[in-house]
Amino acid sequence: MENANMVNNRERLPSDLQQIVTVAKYDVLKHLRSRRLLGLIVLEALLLGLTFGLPIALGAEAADDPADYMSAFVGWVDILIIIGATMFAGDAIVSEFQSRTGYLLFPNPVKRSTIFIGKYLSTLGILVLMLLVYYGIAALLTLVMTGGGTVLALYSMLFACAYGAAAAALGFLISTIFKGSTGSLVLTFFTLLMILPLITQLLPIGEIKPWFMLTFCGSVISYIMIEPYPVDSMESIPLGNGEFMDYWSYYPEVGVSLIVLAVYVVVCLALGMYLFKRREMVS
Amino acid sequence: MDAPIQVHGLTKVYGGGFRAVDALELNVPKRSFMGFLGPNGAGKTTSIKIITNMLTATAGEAYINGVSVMQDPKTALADVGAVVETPEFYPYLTPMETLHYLGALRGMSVCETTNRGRDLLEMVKLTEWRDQRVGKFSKGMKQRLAIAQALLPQPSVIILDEPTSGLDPRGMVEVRDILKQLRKMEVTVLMSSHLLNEVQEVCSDVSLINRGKLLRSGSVEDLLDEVKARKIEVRTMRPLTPDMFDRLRSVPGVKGFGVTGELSFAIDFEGEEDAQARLLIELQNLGLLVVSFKESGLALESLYMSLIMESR
Repeated sequence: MENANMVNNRERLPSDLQQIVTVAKYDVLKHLRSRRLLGLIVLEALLLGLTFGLPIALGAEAADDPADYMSAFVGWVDILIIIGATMFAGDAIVSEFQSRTGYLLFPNPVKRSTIFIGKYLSTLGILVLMLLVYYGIAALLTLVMTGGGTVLALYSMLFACAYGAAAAALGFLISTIFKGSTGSLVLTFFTLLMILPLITQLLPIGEIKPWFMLTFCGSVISYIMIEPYPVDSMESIPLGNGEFMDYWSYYPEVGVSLIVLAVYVVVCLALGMYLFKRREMVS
Repeated sequence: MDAPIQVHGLTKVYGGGFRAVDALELNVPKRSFMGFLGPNGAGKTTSIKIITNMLTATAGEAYINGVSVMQDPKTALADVGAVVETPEFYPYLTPMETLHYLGALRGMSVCETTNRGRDLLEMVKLTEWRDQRVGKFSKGMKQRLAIAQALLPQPSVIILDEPTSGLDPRGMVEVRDILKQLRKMEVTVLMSSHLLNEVQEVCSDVSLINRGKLLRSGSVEDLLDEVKARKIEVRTMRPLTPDMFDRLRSVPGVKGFGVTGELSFAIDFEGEEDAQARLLIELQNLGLLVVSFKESGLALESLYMSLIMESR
């Protein structure tokens, strides 16, 4: 009887892919029942409401062109992604250790890589859902106000999903390194909001195009709404005494940025998974 | 490889050179209930964490049902149910949802998990809480749920790490009752504990460990035979008075005694069951009106303490 049950337990063990789906499913449930998602939904509603209602309330004239009108909404997307990535990825791994739920999960017959990928997919799913809702409502409001739509919004949304994937991957990497949730969340947030953008702003002073910076690539979300797509330009700033300083305004190329984001996803996830596998559950 | 759990040369060295586990050798016989006994810091939990793939060994091997935990942890743990330290549960899930999550990871069908989960929650007395989110549970309730999730897939190997730790007396009694039910099942259990009376009460085999090393291993019966002296705790309705001391000392097998309370005392005794029966008769003849007469775990404590002292 015992041997038959042992064979049964081994034989019916699901594949890694099936377990990934299980982990992702229950992690999505966690997000759906969490106050964090509620907070993000409230923030989305607030941003949509203010972007739509404030100009009307102030008597400002709305743009006629759907792309121009939609751009106002798109301008908030990167902050939404930063907040979303922080909240859903920032402590995804460290929480299993800090809250001791790892003692429940890790002794089960499931690989660490399976848990990692499942959690990442759930985070990605929530971020994509969040973006779909935001862009959907923004498109609807654009239709109401301008009578039309723009395919550029679709490109922007797709790029936002790619940026979200990369930001979430970075969040997962940070989450595997830190010992506490608070530190992990704070570092994820400030890395995306301040540190990377600061470096992105400083590099052009040295005439270096920051094509490899995550947040520089993320700015395609907004620029893609502009027709024609902006190109790099140089400006000479007079310093006085007949001296000039050349200042480059760099714009990310869509194709290159997409590849860079993919690299961020692959590298951050690979490194994060490696560190998670080696991380020990100590008291 | 017959023993379901086998550990060979298991070593764990932390940064700074601290050896938590030192070339540990352990075999847990099939269908035994083995107590893994040792003081705090002996290496019990570290060993169990390595066996359940939560820590990486510095050296050595651990096998469960013939499969190396280091090489193929997923297969090795397929037929294992474990409660390690005091696990926390996902607060947003109910007990039934938690069991469904873990059941799905093991390939159990929804129907099977529901039926089995219902039976297990009844066994651990959590039926009325099955649809409440675990975030509201007390420590004792979580510990009982932890045991339920360990039993969910009907594993052939169960690993428990101090399952009564941190529980109030009622909680400890409830968990021990569950452990006694496990003893009747056809499973192999490895249970770590530092509570000697718990081990002596529940376990069939014992492995004593200190400073990461195995000191002694064997059946509880064999180990107790090594310790000839036993301690018998007696409670009476009348006090043991000084005029009775000489008569008590003269009973065959009595090596000494100590008064532990107004109506209780403990006797150091050497002898088989028939000699114990004669001791009980003699106590009654003294007019003490014996309420309780039982062997305490202190016999095992004597062996344990002597081995611990030797190992220092």
